[in-house]
Amino acid sequence: MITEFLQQTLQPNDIFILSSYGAAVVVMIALAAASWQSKKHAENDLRRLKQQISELLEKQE
Amino acid sequence: MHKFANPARFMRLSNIILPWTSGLTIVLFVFGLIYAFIAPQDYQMGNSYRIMFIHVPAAYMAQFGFGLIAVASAVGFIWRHPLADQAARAAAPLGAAFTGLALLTGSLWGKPMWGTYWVWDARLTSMLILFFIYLGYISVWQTIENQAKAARISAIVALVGIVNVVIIKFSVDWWNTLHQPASLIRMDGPSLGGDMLTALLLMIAAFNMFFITVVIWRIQNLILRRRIRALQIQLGDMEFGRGQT
Repeated sequence: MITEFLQQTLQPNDIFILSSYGAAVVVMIALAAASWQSKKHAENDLRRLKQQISELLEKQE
Repeated sequence: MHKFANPARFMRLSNIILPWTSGLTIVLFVFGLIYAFIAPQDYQMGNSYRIMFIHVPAAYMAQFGFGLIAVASAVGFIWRHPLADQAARAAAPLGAAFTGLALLTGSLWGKPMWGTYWVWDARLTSMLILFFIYLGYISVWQTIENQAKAARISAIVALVGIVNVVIIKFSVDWWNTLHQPASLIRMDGPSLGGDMLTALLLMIAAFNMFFITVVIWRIQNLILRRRIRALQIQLGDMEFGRGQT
């Protein structure tokens, strides 16, 4: 049914347009998600390290 | 300029800028996509020309990205600007991804228009070379452990590689190519008009804003990673000192 619907609505060249927009969405979401996630990871790692250092300093005092 | 070289100042400033750039990215994409689909059909290419609204901004970003890398590398190389090398490094994966996207969407546009996905045309080949230069640039940073040495070598790669960006720009004028000549940056003004031009400019602005947003995240990430390394060394020293006493 989906194939029939697509055959009726899409022109032969529309697949190239859809693939281009689809590829752009995938690439840009992947770039944004990866960059955002690694930044958040780094922020968490930094917070944990700072806490470890302050705990160690407290123990030393 | 060195006032902004301070990573702490950059973090503060970028945290103020980021909500604006990310918000603007979304707004520009919404309006750009609306215009991209309401713009009239091209009399020769029909609807297939709408691939241009992805292909052209991606190709611009590929070249803009390398231009940014070359400028930042030169600044880092000459003035030892602490953030310049990080900015160049952060922009490289984005530029490579946009080059890949430009090549892919170009192929998808080429098939219905030229009847083939690929030809060894001057513009296409120079874009492919740019993609390999990006990969080379990224691999220098990945393989050389000494960051200062990696920054110097990658700066040389960027400064040599920028020649290829000039070749890409003028390839359609210097050689007989299947690729169409420039339609936006021309001596006699853009060859597009009306909604087509509006859509293209909006999409280029959206891609630009996206690039700026993600590159800021990536620079912030690199700054945080440097701090983490410094703190890990400090923690190691403290634990070693504690073990000795």
